[in-house]
Amino acid sequence: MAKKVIGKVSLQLPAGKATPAPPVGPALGQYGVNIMGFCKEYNARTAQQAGFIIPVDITIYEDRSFTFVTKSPPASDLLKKAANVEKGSGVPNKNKVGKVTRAKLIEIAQTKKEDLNAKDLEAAVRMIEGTARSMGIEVVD
Amino acid sequence: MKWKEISVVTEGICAEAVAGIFHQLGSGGVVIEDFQAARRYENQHSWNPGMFSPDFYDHDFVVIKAYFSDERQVLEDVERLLAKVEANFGVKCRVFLDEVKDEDWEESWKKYYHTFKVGDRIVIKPSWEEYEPQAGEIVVEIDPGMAFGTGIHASTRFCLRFLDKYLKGGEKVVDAGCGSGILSIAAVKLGAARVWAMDIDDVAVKVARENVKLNGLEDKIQVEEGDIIEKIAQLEVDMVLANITAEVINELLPEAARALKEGGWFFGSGIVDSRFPGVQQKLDECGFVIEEILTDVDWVGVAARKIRK
Repeated sequence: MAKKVIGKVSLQLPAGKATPAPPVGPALGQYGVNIMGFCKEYNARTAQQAGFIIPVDITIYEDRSFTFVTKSPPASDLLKKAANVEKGSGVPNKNKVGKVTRAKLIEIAQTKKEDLNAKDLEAAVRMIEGTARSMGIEVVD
Repeated sequence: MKWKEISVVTEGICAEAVAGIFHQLGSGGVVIEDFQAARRYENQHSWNPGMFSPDFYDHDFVVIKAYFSDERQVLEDVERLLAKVEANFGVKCRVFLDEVKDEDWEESWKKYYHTFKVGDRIVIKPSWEEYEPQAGEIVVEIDPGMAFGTGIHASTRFCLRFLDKYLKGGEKVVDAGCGSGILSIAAVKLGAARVWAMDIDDVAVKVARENVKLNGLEDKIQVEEGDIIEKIAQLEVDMVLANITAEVINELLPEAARALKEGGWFFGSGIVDSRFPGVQQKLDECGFVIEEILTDVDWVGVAARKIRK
């Protein structure tokens, strides 16, 4: 019989660098999961993507065992890479830190569409575009 | 240690943008919770969702949470950057501030950690439980705290099995990336003469020292904080344990090969199966022969022998 699921947790963590400090500790501790066990597994599986933030969906079972799936890096990471910038702008409405083309934006939306739970590509594009603007990255045609 | 918990309740469409703000401010990660969690906020914080829009329950709401050390003043930055998100997406973001302490979650998993056996002889016993050993059993007493190494994870079990099978007695051992110290303690209880346990994580070093003391083995196990590769270069030993990751094992192998005597053992674990071919190749390059491979779902543990010096 399938084990009973007692919780689901979604996290975005630096690849290969999860530690028991927040957010991992409080997010998993509340379910009684062995926090270091999770960190070890996450780090072993994401070590090769070091430098990226890698989202992970964790399912926790009644016996406190868990499984997880990792996803594509978050939009903000992909946008930074596309615009070739280190970090977003502190004052995104005034200081623009970089540019991405609309074609690149659509490409990112396509990569992320499934992970974002977006209804359709248009919704995914809207999400990515809003994220870009909020970071001070201009969208150009 | 105290932490500020900043929770943003908003519509799903801008979840990525809000998460991006937290990453930019150096939160070291975020938690994203679904609509159910958003409803909990409604109850706990006597919050009226009507302030968002009349069709609240038709929206795909989420909660994005991040944590900052209590001294950091980040709230103003968060609110300033959120205003931009609100304008860009035409949505509202509501911010809740809470405080959490390390103690709030550090102990919660202990309820599910009990005495258990690995192989025929090794018994792993949490320090807060009682156990009467049977003839021939060896008991490793552990309080893993916030260090890795409860003995439950496949990668730790592989190493315990290798120790049980290949340790003959009197060996000098290096435990590279010792975590809770579980493998070092098991090694001495199985007959090793001396163990150098090392970890780069200061929490692990503290926990390992406490566990060594708990088992009364301070005279045989030396726990040191620092870079494993530098430390191992100064030693000559019979056995190297490395329950870390494939990447670190590959870096460590050339030094381990130098430190090991001819015929010495290398136990590598914490390897995800897709990375195992890389480890196999490195073992070969460094003059090792693989004696045994253990697998569990997609984890691999390897016991190899140094054949030429």
